[in-house]
Amino acid sequence: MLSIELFFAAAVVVTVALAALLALRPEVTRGRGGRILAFVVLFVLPALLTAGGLQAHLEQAKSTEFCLSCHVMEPYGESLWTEDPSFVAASHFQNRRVPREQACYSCHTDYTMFGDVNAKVRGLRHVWVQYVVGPPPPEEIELYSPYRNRECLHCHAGARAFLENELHAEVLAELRSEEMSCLDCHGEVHEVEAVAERERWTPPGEAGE
Amino acid sequence: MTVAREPAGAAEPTRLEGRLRLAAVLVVLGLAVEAISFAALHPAGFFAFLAPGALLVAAGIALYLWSIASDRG
Repeated sequence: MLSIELFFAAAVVVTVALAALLALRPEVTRGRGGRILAFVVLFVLPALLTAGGLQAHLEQAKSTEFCLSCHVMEPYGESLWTEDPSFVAASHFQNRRVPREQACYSCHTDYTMFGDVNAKVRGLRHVWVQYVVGPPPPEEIELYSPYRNRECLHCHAGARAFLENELHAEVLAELRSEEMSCLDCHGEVHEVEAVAERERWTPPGEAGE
Repeated sequence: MTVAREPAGAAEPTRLEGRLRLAAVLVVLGLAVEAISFAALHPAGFFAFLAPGALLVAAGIALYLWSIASDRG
Protein backbone atom coordinates (compact mmCIF):
# COMPACT_ATOMS: atom_id res chain seq x y z
CA MET A 1 0.00 0.00 0.00
CA LEU A 2 1.22 3.48 -0.90
CA SER A 3 2.39 5.27 2.24
CA ILE A 4 1.69 8.95 2.77
CA GLU A 5 5.43 9.70 2.75
CA LEU A 6 5.86 8.00 -0.61
CA PHE A 7 2.85 9.83 -1.98
CA PHE A 8 4.27 13.19 -0.88
CA ALA A 9 7.71 12.33 -2.24
CA ALA A 10 6.17 11.39 -5.59
CA ALA A 11 4.09 14.59 -5.60
CA VAL A 12 7.21 16.67 -4.92
CA VAL A 13 9.11 14.97 -7.76
CA VAL A 14 6.24 15.46 -10.21
CA THR A 15 5.76 19.11 -9.18
CA VAL A 16 9.48 19.86 -9.44
CA ALA A 17 9.62 18.17 -12.86
CA LEU A 18 6.63 20.14 -14.16
CA ALA A 19 7.89 23.42 -12.67
CA ALA A 20 11.27 22.76 -14.28
CA LEU A 21 9.45 22.24 -17.59
CA LEU A 22 7.73 25.61 -17.14
CA ALA A 23 11.07 27.24 -16.32
CA LEU A 24 12.69 25.81 -19.44
CA ARG A 25 9.72 26.20 -21.76
CA PRO A 26 7.54 29.05 -20.44
CA GLU A 27 5.93 29.40 -23.86
CA VAL A 28 3.79 26.35 -23.10
CA THR A 29 1.63 28.73 -21.06
CA ARG A 30 0.43 30.41 -24.24
CA GLY A 31 -2.27 27.78 -24.66
CA ARG A 32 -5.21 27.17 -22.35
CA GLY A 33 -3.82 23.82 -21.20
CA GLY A 34 -0.47 25.45 -20.41
CA ARG A 35 -2.13 28.14 -18.32
CA ILE A 36 -4.02 25.52 -16.33
CA LEU A 37 -0.77 23.61 -15.90
CA ALA A 38 0.95 26.75 -14.60
CA PHE A 39 -1.86 27.39 -12.13
CA VAL A 40 -1.63 23.85 -10.77
CA VAL A 41 2.17 23.65 -10.74
CA LEU A 42 2.97 27.17 -9.56
CA PHE A 43 0.13 27.62 -7.09
CA VAL A 44 -1.99 24.62 -6.09
CA LEU A 45 0.64 21.90 -5.71
CA PRO A 46 3.41 24.00 -4.06
CA ALA A 47 0.90 25.41 -1.55
CA LEU A 48 -0.47 21.95 -0.71
CA LEU A 49 2.98 20.36 -0.50
CA THR A 50 4.35 23.13 1.70
CA ALA A 51 1.36 22.90 4.05
CA GLY A 52 1.72 19.12 4.19
CA GLY A 53 5.47 19.38 4.70
CA LEU A 54 5.01 21.84 7.54
CA GLN A 55 2.54 19.49 9.20
CA ALA A 56 4.97 16.59 8.79
CA HIS A 57 7.81 18.64 10.31
CA LEU A 58 5.62 19.64 13.27
CA GLU A 59 4.69 15.99 13.82
CA GLN A 60 8.34 14.98 13.59
CA ALA A 61 9.21 17.65 16.15
CA LYS A 62 7.18 15.73 18.75
CA SER A 63 9.61 12.81 18.69
CA THR A 64 11.99 12.11 21.54
CA GLU A 65 14.76 11.71 18.99
CA PHE A 66 14.12 15.24 17.72
CA CYS A 67 14.22 16.78 21.22
CA LEU A 68 17.42 14.96 22.07
CA SER A 69 19.10 15.88 18.79
CA CYS A 70 20.43 19.04 20.44
CA HIS A 71 23.62 18.36 22.38
CA VAL A 72 22.43 20.35 25.39
CA MET A 73 19.46 17.98 25.81
CA GLU A 74 21.54 14.79 25.98
CA PRO A 75 21.69 14.65 29.81
CA TYR A 76 17.90 14.95 29.87
CA GLY A 77 17.68 11.97 27.55
CA GLU A 78 20.12 10.07 29.73
CA SER A 79 18.02 10.87 32.81
CA LEU A 80 15.19 8.81 31.32
CA TRP A 81 17.29 5.69 31.93
CA THR A 82 17.95 6.39 35.62
CA GLU A 83 17.61 3.16 37.61
CA ASP A 84 15.92 4.83 40.61
CA PRO A 85 12.10 4.65 40.17
CA SER A 86 11.59 7.73 42.35
CA PHE A 87 12.72 9.85 39.41
CA VAL A 88 9.47 10.87 37.78
CA ALA A 89 10.71 11.23 34.20
CA ALA A 90 12.59 7.91 34.27
CA SER A 91 9.68 6.09 35.87
CA HIS A 92 7.23 7.37 33.26
CA PHE A 93 9.56 6.57 30.38
CA GLN A 94 10.62 3.12 31.55
CA ASN A 95 7.12 1.99 32.50
CA ARG A 96 5.69 3.31 29.23
CA ARG A 97 3.32 5.66 31.03
CA VAL A 98 4.23 7.94 28.15
CA PRO A 99 5.01 6.71 24.64
CA ARG A 100 8.79 6.44 24.42
CA GLU A 101 8.77 7.86 20.90
CA GLN A 102 7.16 11.08 22.21
CA ALA A 103 8.36 11.06 25.81
CA CYS A 104 9.45 14.71 26.07
CA TYR A 105 6.43 16.02 24.22
CA SER A 106 3.93 13.98 26.27
CA CYS A 107 4.89 15.73 29.49
CA HIS A 108 6.01 19.10 28.16
CA THR A 109 3.09 20.02 25.94
CA ASP A 110 0.11 21.94 27.30
CA TYR A 111 -3.11 19.97 27.47
CA THR A 112 -5.22 22.92 26.41
CA MET A 113 -7.02 23.90 23.22
CA PHE A 114 -3.91 25.57 21.80
CA GLY A 115 -1.42 23.39 23.67
CA ASP A 116 0.21 22.11 20.50
CA VAL A 117 0.68 25.64 19.22
CA ASN A 118 2.13 26.78 22.56
CA ALA A 119 4.52 23.83 22.53
CA LYS A 120 5.69 24.75 19.03
CA VAL A 121 6.20 28.38 20.02
CA ARG A 122 8.30 27.23 22.96
CA GLY A 123 10.18 24.97 20.57
CA LEU A 124 10.96 27.94 18.34
CA ARG A 125 12.18 29.79 21.41
CA HIS A 126 14.46 26.83 22.18
CA VAL A 127 15.91 27.08 18.69
CA TRP A 128 16.41 30.84 19.04
CA VAL A 129 18.31 30.26 22.26
CA GLN A 130 20.29 27.40 20.72
CA TYR A 131 21.46 29.28 17.64
CA VAL A 132 21.33 32.96 18.54
CA VAL A 133 21.64 33.52 22.30
CA GLY A 134 23.62 30.38 23.05
CA PRO A 135 22.35 27.60 25.29
CA PRO A 136 23.06 27.55 29.03
CA PRO A 137 24.74 24.50 30.54
CA PRO A 138 22.27 21.60 30.86
CA GLU A 139 22.08 21.88 34.66
CA GLU A 140 21.04 25.56 34.40
CA ILE A 141 18.16 24.97 32.01
CA GLU A 142 14.82 25.90 33.53
CA LEU A 143 11.24 25.73 32.36
CA TYR A 144 9.87 29.04 31.05
CA SER A 145 7.08 28.79 33.61
CA PRO A 146 6.44 26.50 36.60
CA TYR A 147 5.26 23.02 35.68
CA ARG A 148 1.47 22.82 36.00
CA ASN A 149 -0.44 19.97 37.63
CA ARG A 150 -2.84 20.15 34.71
CA GLU A 151 -0.32 18.28 32.59
CA CYS A 152 -0.01 15.47 35.19
CA LEU A 153 -3.74 15.29 35.84
CA HIS A 154 -4.48 15.02 32.15
CA CYS A 155 -3.52 11.35 32.48
CA HIS A 156 -3.58 10.67 36.23
CA ALA A 157 -6.91 12.20 37.20
CA GLY A 158 -9.42 9.38 37.07
CA ALA A 159 -6.75 6.70 37.01
CA ARG A 160 -7.41 4.00 39.60
CA ALA A 161 -3.91 4.01 41.09
CA PHE A 162 -4.15 7.76 41.54
CA LEU A 163 -7.68 7.83 42.97
CA GLU A 164 -7.12 4.99 45.41
CA ASN A 165 -4.03 6.59 46.86
CA GLU A 166 -5.20 8.19 50.13
CA LEU A 167 -2.57 10.91 50.00
CA HIS A 168 -3.79 12.01 46.59
CA ALA A 169 -7.41 12.00 47.74
CA GLU A 170 -6.57 14.29 50.66
CA VAL A 171 -5.00 16.97 48.47
CA LEU A 172 -6.95 16.54 45.25
CA ALA A 173 -8.66 19.92 45.55
CA GLU A 174 -5.34 21.69 46.11
CA LEU A 175 -3.81 19.80 43.18
CA ARG A 176 -6.66 20.74 40.87
CA SER A 177 -6.48 24.39 41.87
CA GLU A 178 -2.67 24.40 41.50
CA GLU A 179 -2.34 25.58 45.11
CA MET A 180 -0.13 22.58 45.62
CA SER A 181 2.26 21.21 43.03
CA CYS A 182 2.62 17.53 42.20
CA LEU A 183 6.33 18.24 42.28
CA ASP A 184 6.10 19.14 45.98
CA CYS A 185 6.12 15.40 46.63
CA HIS A 186 7.43 14.03 43.33
CA GLY A 187 10.31 16.45 43.10
CA GLU A 188 12.95 14.22 41.55
CA VAL A 189 12.41 14.70 37.85
CA HIS A 190 15.51 14.93 35.63
CA GLU A 191 18.20 16.20 38.06
CA VAL A 192 20.74 16.22 35.26
CA GLU A 193 23.64 17.61 37.26
CA ALA A 194 24.31 14.15 38.71
CA VAL A 195 22.93 12.01 35.93
CA ALA A 196 26.28 10.52 34.98
CA GLU A 197 26.83 9.27 38.53
CA ARG A 198 23.49 7.50 38.85
CA GLU A 199 23.00 3.86 38.04
CA ARG A 200 21.51 3.25 34.60
CA TRP A 201 18.60 0.90 33.94
CA THR A 202 19.24 -1.71 31.32
CA PRO A 203 16.14 -3.52 30.04
CA PRO A 204 16.39 -7.28 30.61
CA GLY A 205 17.73 -8.96 27.52
CA GLU A 206 19.82 -5.94 26.54
CA ALA A 207 22.55 -6.38 29.15
CA GLY A 208 25.95 -6.68 27.57
CA GLU A 209 24.80 -5.42 24.17
CA MET B 1 20.29 32.13 -48.96
CA THR B 2 17.25 32.63 -46.84
CA VAL B 3 17.03 31.72 -43.21
CA ALA B 4 13.76 30.34 -41.92
CA ARG B 5 12.51 32.54 -39.11
CA GLU B 6 10.10 31.60 -36.40
CA PRO B 7 6.94 33.68 -36.14
CA ALA B 8 7.35 36.75 -34.00
CA GLY B 9 6.79 35.96 -30.33
CA ALA B 10 7.47 32.23 -30.62
CA ALA B 11 11.16 32.25 -29.68
CA GLU B 12 11.47 35.29 -27.45
CA PRO B 13 9.64 34.85 -24.16
CA THR B 14 7.26 37.64 -23.30
CA ARG B 15 7.60 39.59 -20.06
CA LEU B 16 4.87 37.39 -18.51
CA GLU B 17 6.71 34.26 -19.54
CA GLY B 18 9.91 35.60 -18.09
CA ARG B 19 8.18 36.12 -14.77
CA LEU B 20 6.59 32.68 -14.92
CA ARG B 21 10.02 31.23 -15.59
CA LEU B 22 11.39 32.96 -12.50
CA ALA B 23 8.39 31.83 -10.43
CA ALA B 24 8.97 28.26 -11.60
CA VAL B 25 12.65 28.45 -10.66
CA LEU B 26 11.74 29.74 -7.18
CA VAL B 27 9.20 26.95 -6.71
CA VAL B 28 11.68 24.29 -7.88
CA LEU B 29 14.38 25.58 -5.53
CA GLY B 30 11.97 25.92 -2.61
CA LEU B 31 10.52 22.44 -3.01
CA ALA B 32 14.01 20.97 -3.37
CA VAL B 33 15.11 22.62 -0.12
CA GLU B 34 11.91 21.49 1.62
CA ALA B 35 12.50 17.91 0.49
CA ILE B 36 16.14 17.95 1.59
CA SER B 37 15.18 19.38 5.00
CA PHE B 38 13.56 16.04 5.88
CA ALA B 39 16.95 14.36 5.79
CA ALA B 40 17.81 15.90 9.18
CA LEU B 41 15.75 15.04 12.26
CA HIS B 42 16.95 18.19 13.95
CA PRO B 43 15.73 21.75 14.55
CA ALA B 44 18.09 22.88 11.79
CA GLY B 45 16.04 20.76 9.36
CA PHE B 46 12.86 22.45 10.51
CA PHE B 47 14.40 25.87 10.02
CA ALA B 48 15.75 24.92 6.61
CA PHE B 49 12.20 23.95 5.68
CA LEU B 50 10.80 27.30 6.81
CA ALA B 51 13.55 29.55 5.52
CA PRO B 52 14.74 29.24 2.79
CA GLY B 53 12.39 26.40 1.70
CA ALA B 54 8.90 27.69 2.39
CA LEU B 55 9.98 31.30 1.76
CA LEU B 56 11.21 30.44 -1.73
CA VAL B 57 7.98 28.58 -2.51
CA ALA B 58 5.93 31.48 -1.14
CA ALA B 59 7.93 33.94 -3.24
CA GLY B 60 7.38 31.77 -6.33
CA ILE B 61 3.64 31.56 -5.71
CA ALA B 62 3.40 35.30 -5.02
CA LEU B 63 5.36 36.12 -8.18
CA TYR B 64 3.12 33.81 -10.21
CA LEU B 65 -0.07 35.34 -8.84
CA TRP B 66 1.21 38.88 -9.27
CA SER B 67 2.34 38.11 -12.83
CA ILE B 68 -1.03 36.83 -13.99
CA ALA B 69 -2.92 39.53 -12.09
CA SER B 70 -0.87 42.36 -13.57
CA ASP B 71 -0.68 40.97 -17.10
CA ARG B 72 -2.72 43.02 -19.55
CA GLY B 73 -2.74 40.46 -22.27
